[in-house]
Amino acid sequence: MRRQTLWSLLASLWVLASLGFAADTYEVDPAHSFVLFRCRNVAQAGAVFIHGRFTDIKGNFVVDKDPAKCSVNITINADSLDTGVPDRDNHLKSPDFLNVKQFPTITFTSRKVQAIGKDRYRITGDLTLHGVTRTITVTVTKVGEGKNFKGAYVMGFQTTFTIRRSDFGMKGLMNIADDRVELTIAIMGIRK
Amino acid sequence: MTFFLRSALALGLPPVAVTFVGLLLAWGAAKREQRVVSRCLTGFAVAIGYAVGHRIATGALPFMPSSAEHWLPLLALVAALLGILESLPNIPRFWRWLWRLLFGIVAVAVLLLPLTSLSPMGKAIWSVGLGVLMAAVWTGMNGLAGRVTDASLPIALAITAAVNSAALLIAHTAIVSQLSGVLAATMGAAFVFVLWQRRWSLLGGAMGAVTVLLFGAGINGAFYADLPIPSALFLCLAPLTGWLREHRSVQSWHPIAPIALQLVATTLFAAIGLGIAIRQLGLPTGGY
Repeated sequence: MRRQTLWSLLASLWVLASLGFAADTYEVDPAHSFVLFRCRNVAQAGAVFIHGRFTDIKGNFVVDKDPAKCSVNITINADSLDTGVPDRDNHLKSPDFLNVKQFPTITFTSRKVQAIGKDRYRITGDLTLHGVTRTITVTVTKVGEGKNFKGAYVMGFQTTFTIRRSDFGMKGLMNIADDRVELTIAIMGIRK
Repeated sequence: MTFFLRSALALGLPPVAVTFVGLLLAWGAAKREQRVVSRCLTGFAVAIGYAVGHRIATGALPFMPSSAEHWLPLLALVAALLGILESLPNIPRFWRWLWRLLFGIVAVAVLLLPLTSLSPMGKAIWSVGLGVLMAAVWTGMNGLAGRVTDASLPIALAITAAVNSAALLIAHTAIVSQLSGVLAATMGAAFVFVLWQRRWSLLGGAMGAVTVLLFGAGINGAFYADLPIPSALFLCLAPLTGWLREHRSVQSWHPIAPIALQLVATTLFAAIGLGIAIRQLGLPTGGY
């Protein structure tokens, strides 16, 4: 009887321990996640950046004490682009740039996560944009975590990086929009 | 204005030069009584001239295209290659019809393949419908090119392509608009050439290349950008109005009358296409 209790205790401890160290999966909260971009407007003599955002973002990320077990998957609806000017939005969605009817999604899938400091990570992954997949490395900062006002546990990260649109097959109209596009991805996830 | 002029010259002059050189080579072959070679070179002059402009406009000329607009130079080249078959003597009319039909259906299918908003059945229906129409337009244009050997045909095609370019700009795609502009430039070169070499015909592969480029730009505009489908149809069919000049009553008019009728009819038909685009989409606001 005593032996059985000991085994039960050990089993419970193992379950608790594994729960404590289990990787947590977070579902991206679209209402509190942002994908912003800015690109120099060459047609306006480069005097201004065009700022825009994608409003439809989905995905999840896994957080573990072991960075090797961490991962992130993000899918952005390319058609949700918004710069505040409908004509410009339609142009950016056309075959001139994103070609959303042919390439409706922009995705990022991590391959490797490394911790590089307190709340800072280096993430290497595949960015698929305009039908072209390129491996990129970005530095991500944890913005914060904790229970929100509804009692759900949330965690947020942010990164800013620059890509060349020509690397993703968007090589035309360089005399209108610059090749370099700065992206800011700020995501907040709700723990499942 | 300088910005647009500079862009138009940078984009238009190289295809004009390449097409003109190609037509000179074709003319040289015709002088040596090599008629088949000459007709093939005419087709390649248009296709390669366009490819040069395509490279400048899009910054790429991929051998294996990943997006719909990049299929256009390859399709124009295939049409020019089919022109070799067209040039061979004693080919029954049935076979000409058959390969134009197959080419039309395959060309439209290839252009619609990457589209995500259409079901496979929808793509198949559009491919067959537009493919048959493309084959009919190619045949109609070829027939016209066989009869009309003055400069009115290339200038009518240049006008159509230029109006198409304007409609595509309204449909929010400057690059496909530029590609139609490149086609207008190659036809401009053909116009100058025919002014110099009277009775030069664009029969064969050249007509195939022009037809597939006109349809290709229309399909890209209508399915991947915002060009209304009726607008695209009017623009693709506009050059066929040249057949009006072949009416017996028109033939008896002043010699310049058939040419004027052809140009006015083509411009009007293309303008209806442009008008539909403006009505549905409004004029571009510009300056954003």
